[in-house]
Amino acid sequence: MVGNREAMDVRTDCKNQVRPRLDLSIKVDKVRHEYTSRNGEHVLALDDVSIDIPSGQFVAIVGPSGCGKTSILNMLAGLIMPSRGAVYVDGEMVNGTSRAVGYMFARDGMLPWRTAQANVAFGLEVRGVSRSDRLARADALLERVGLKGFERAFRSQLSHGMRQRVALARTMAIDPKVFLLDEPFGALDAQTRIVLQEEFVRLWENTGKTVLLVTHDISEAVAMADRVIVLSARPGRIKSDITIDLPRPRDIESIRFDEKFARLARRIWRDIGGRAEGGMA
Amino acid sequence: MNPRLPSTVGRSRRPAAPRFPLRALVNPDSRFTIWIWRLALAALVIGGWQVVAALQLVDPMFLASPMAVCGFLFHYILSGKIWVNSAVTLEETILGFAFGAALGVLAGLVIGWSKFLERVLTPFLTICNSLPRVALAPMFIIWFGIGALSKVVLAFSLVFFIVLISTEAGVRSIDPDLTMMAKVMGATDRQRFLKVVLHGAVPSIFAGLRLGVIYSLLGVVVGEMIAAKWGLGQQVMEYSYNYKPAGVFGVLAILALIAICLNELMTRVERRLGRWKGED
Ligand SMILES: Nc1ncnc2c1ncn2[C@@H]1O[C@H](COP(=O)(O)OP(=O)(O)O)[C@@H](O)[C@H]1O
Ligand SMILES: [Mg+2]
Repeated sequence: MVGNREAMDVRTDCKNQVRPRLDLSIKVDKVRHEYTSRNGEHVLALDDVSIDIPSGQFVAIVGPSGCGKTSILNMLAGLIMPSRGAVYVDGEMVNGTSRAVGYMFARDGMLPWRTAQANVAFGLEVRGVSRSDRLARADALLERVGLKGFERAFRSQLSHGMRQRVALARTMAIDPKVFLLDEPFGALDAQTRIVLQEEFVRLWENTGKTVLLVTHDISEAVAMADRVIVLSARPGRIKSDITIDLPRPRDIESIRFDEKFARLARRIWRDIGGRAEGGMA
Repeated sequence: MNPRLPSTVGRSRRPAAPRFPLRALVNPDSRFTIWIWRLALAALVIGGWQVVAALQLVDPMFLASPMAVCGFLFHYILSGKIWVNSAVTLEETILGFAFGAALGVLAGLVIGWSKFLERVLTPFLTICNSLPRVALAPMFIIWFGIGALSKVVLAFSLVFFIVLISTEAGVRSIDPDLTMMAKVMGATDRQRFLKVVLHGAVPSIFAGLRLGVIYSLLGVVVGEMIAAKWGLGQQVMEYSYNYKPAGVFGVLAILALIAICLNELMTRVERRLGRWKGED
């Protein structure tokens, strides 16, 4: 909380061009967000949410659906502006899309008329990277996500898991400082999901990139993240902020059978308001 | 499992069952067979028509025999009238189509891209598009004279709205996931428009163009039928006024041929462009 206030004070001083703490990669500062629906009703989605994420941390946000998780990511990506409060990425207040941020959704968003390779190269193409450079980079990334040999494949020729891999490679291609992931594995079958979680963690470890993962899967959050933030039901407020002190590098598959894992997962389950485990604990 | 059972049974039985001996004759996958059937059907229709005409089952004043139509076409070609009139009609059709298509695509893209314009203009577009604009042909003749201009304008008015509406529909049909993806990948508005919206709208634009080219021909012919010095539409009118059914059917055959060629041309252009899968 102290760090939070400090950063706030610095922000109010922005005439002097002083920025919030530089080691903070993401800062969500007293954000409140209200949507106005078509018939004029106000929906309070988020209420007084503050999150500080230091550079290089992997944070997962869990919470019941409709509690404003996607709204937080959309603010950080510059797609929407908070009704009150502000969000910062890399010390800069977000007020529009930024090329320092990579955002990945549950749906792959592959352009169906482009090959996997050209899809991965899309972000580099719009940044004006030369054709040969971007294609070489796309090929290298496709290989890293396990899609070597599928460079010329179109969306219709790929499975769900493969499409999500392309989306992952596409997001990594622009080399963002911050990854925003909105239930990126949510639409996959259980087995593919674990494989992709493992691959993402392996690719992320040692990169020093900040990750903010939204998920409704508690075991995904605990297995992947350094820290799990639990949001309450709408309007979303921070209910708890739990450090996941499981060792790294992690084996996503076997860590699920770890005792500590189970304890952390149960705790989060209770915070979310799950009944079965809540009664037991 | 259950729904799969019957088909498995069916498949295992099929080889044992006696083969339908005429199966090859109705094989939908053989291009050869399909063409044989097409020719047979055409021969049947034309042959039947010839018989009806030859036996004078219908007053020859109303129906020309295929042979008579062929005779007419032979003279029509020899006299060179075919080239003069086809050239006029084709020229008007292409001009009307070109202007209508270019402006229609442009307007469709702008209106599809701008939510504001779309909301304001939709009722007007619906009215314009559902009006039978061909009915305005006499007015166009009064406004623009009996020369080529009135036909071109009529064709334009048909093509413009057809292409506009299909282009706009194409822009609007683009999956919002794709434009969202482009946005978060750092594409500028311009890049999003060119690389996602325009590209995604191409199939719908071409559907509009293919329809538009035929309507352009229709508009021109109708215009020529009302008042013109030259053109295939004018020829149809002339021959029917003079009770020459062979001439009417002959000119119609030429028009059909032109329509087929125009349609084929559009399909080829589309296929050529269709190969532009990815930019890379
Ligand atoms: N564009 C919108 N207009 C109106 N209400 C919205 C809009 N987007 C989201 N909401 C509402 O805000 C709340 C939070 O949405 P969201 O951030 O998508 O939640 P989550 O991702 O946690 O499921 C939900 O109750 C949703 O119905
Ligand atoms: Mg969501």
